[in-house]
Amino acid sequence: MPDAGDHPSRLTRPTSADLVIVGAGLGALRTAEAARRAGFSGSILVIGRESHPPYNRPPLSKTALISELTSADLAFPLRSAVDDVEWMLSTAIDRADLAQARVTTSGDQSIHYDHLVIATGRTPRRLPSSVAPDRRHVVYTIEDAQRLRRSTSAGERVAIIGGGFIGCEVAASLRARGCAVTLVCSGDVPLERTLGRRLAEALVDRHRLEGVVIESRSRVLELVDRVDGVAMSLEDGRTLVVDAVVEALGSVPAADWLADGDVVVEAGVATDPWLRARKASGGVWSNVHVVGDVAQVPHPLSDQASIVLPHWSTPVDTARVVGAAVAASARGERVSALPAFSALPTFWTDQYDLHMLSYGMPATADNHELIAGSYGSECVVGYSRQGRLIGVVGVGMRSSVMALRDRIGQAI
Amino acid sequence: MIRIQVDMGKCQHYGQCVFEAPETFRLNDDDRLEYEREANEADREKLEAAADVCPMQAITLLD
Ligand SMILES: Cc1cc2nc3c(=O)[nH]c(=O)nc-3n(C[C@H](O)[C@H](O)[C@H](O)COP(=O)(O)OP(=O)(O)OC[C@H]3O[C@@H](n4cnc5c(N)ncnc54)[C@H](O)[C@@H]3O)c2cc1C
Ligand code: SF4
Repeated sequence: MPDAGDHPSRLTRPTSADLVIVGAGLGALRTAEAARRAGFSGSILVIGRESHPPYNRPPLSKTALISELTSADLAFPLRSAVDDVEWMLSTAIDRADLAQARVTTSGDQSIHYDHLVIATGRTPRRLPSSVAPDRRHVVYTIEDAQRLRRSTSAGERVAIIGGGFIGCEVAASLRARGCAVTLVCSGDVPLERTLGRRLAEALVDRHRLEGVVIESRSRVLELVDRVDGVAMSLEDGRTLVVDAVVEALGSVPAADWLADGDVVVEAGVATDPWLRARKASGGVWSNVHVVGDVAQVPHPLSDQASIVLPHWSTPVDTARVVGAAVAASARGERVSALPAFSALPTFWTDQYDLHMLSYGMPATADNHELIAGSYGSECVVGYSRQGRLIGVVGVGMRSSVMALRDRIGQAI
Repeated sequence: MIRIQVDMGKCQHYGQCVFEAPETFRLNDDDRLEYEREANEADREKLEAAADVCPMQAITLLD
């Protein structure tokens, strides 16, 4: 499918659809596919703010910062099974009235649904600041990545605020382009909370070796535009001046448009184990599902505690459950008779020549140990909580990581 | 017959495809991806699942 503008379905203005999916990312695409695979034959309308059909985001903090990529380079293939799906791109949904089964665009067009899927992902958190946009970046869309790449060059000073995976990946990519990179994070070591101290330290050592300056235990209070660059005032009283900043401060659920609805929004839009949106007034909406990393869902590995899994595998895995649920419910069948969401979370990151693969929920561990290899080179680390293996992370050593994957959930 | 292509310039040998279609994809002793170039129509669903879960979107199916 071509970009918005020259696609015929863009010209139509549907006022209703049997299934309306809000957000046109990976989760939306996989939901449409899964619904068709499960036999759903009603009309499907996908509404998304961006002007592009769904494209792959992970390269945005990696290869797309090193060489120029377009949304077409990163577009997901559209299978013939979703040929009849209608795409309303460049369209934001402003509000929803779930009791009336209606969503409304920012252009004030109302669209009625039988089934609604919330697939709006997450919005990057920003610092309050008036610094000019060409000196202040986030990395969420293809345009963000293109702008960051074009407005930075070798030798320029770039500060990355936030020591999560995206911050670390951006640091590695900008180093590869010869920028002078400073990574500012509030914790002792970037990624410590997710990976545990030892593995996080090994990673940060690698960043230092590559020339990244790490400012840990630092909080940025303010960003100010100056003639000589952007001044960042740190909590400890120092001021760092750089040519550009990248805000990589985590994200919030893109759920503003649900503010008036009877839903529960915490770290994500809260659901039951079948990804049906929970009502603030109790119970669930049987015709409203949530997919992707906007969902906050109970999982067997978290002992059914409700969590957000902001990984690429989440839209793929939640869409399988939701596509089947929508198809079943359209046939009048009971959704709770279907398998609940239980897929093993999978995450990867590439920094320099390090390829890290994670299964399970290492961030919720109370203990971890080195299983193979050594910190600082290739290794496998096992993570446990209350004596149960709940995660495995490998740097390289693919087969060993994969072999341990099947033991996740079991006693150690 | 379905023909399978993997862009080895993109593939990072994550092995996600292996879980979906182990008859077609495997990691060898050096942890590198090996795969069959052809599969039967009966395997289409598994192969599409493998292509879908590939983080690098390196797998193409040709009819
Ligand atoms: C830079 C970057 C690097 C990443 N790297 C990795 C990685 O290495 N490994 C990994 O496992 N995961 C990674 N991820 C995470 C992964 O990409 C996400 O988990 C995944 O994209 C979530 O898919 P989604 O469909 O749920 O949401 P999204 O991909 O966020 O799509 C949601 C869409 O909804 C649209 N939208 C939002 N609000 C509205 C509205 N009101 N109306 C209409 N449309 C709306 C948005 O514009 C967006 O296009 C990365 C993410 C980013 C941003
Ligand atoms: S899932 Fe993709 S990247 Fe991973 S081994 Fe298979 S083809 Fe390669």
